Amino acid sequence: MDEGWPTEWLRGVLELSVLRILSEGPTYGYAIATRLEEIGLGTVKGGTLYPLLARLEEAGRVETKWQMGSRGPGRKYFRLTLAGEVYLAAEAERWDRFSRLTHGFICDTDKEK
Amino acid sequence: MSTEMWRPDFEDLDWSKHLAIEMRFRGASDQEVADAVATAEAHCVDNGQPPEQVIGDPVQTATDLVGRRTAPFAYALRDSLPNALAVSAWLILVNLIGRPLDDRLHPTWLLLPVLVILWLVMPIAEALLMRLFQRTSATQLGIASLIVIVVVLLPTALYLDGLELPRMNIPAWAGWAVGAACLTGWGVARVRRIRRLNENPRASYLTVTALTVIFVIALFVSAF
Repeated sequence: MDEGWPTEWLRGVLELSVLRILSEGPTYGYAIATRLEEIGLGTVKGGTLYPLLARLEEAGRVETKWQMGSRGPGRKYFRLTLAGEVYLAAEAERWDRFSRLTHGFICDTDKEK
Repeated sequence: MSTEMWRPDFEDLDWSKHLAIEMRFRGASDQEVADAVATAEAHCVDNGQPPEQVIGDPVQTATDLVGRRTAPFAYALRDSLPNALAVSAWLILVNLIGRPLDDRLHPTWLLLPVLVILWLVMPIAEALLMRLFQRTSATQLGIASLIVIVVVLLPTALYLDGLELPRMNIPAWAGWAVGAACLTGWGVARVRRIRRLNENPRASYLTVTALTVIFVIALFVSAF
């Protein structure tokens, strides 16, 4: 379901979400976009996704390989590197702390009462 | 929602071209451009929607993909420098050969401004022309190339004329005619290279190199 999340929120969560998807195995851009939509982050345009993947590749967190499709065009597959796995584990932990903190502060209305 | 499968057609190829041009302006390599275009096209085939819709604005996409590694002028400068150097080297050679033996290494004051003109005017003109003529017909490209020729050839002609060398008394300006023809080809080849996504860049470079060599030989022969 596309709830139309604010761009600022998506910007913060997109990188880790993409890395998380890639931790399930190598895949290509369109499949990543579809998966992001499935988990409820909405439609992520290629113009947002591919520059992010390019930055991840440049940082050595992702590696790529072109594969010929059995039907249709060849596809560029993205695969998480070891450095990417380490980064994801560390950042996921930090994200957990961050989200608990913000959730506790923003959603806990009892303190106000 | 459109149920029709997206297939590259002329209009959509324009989007790819636009992306390629914008990426080149930002200093992307041929490999990066080809990679980005192929990825975008595969994405569109999978999605079934046109690139404008699934990828977004080509200018923004190019900026996000490449960043601002090099300004258009820096890109043109980097690409034009070998050609400018080749012409400059020839000018120096003619200068040395044409002068009397006892005066061969004497510097000519005009040489420096001409080199500056070649190094600065050529890339500036090229960057401007690429911006202005990126979506134009072959005729307009020809006109654009002629502008480059006037801008580049006029000062060099004045310079060579200013040397007053007997050996450089080119009969009927034959050398300049050949040179102008070569530089027309040079200009067209360079602008076309950036417009044509599927063109082999090596072929263009070979053309440019061959034209430069012919230009040099023609002027060299006509000087004696």
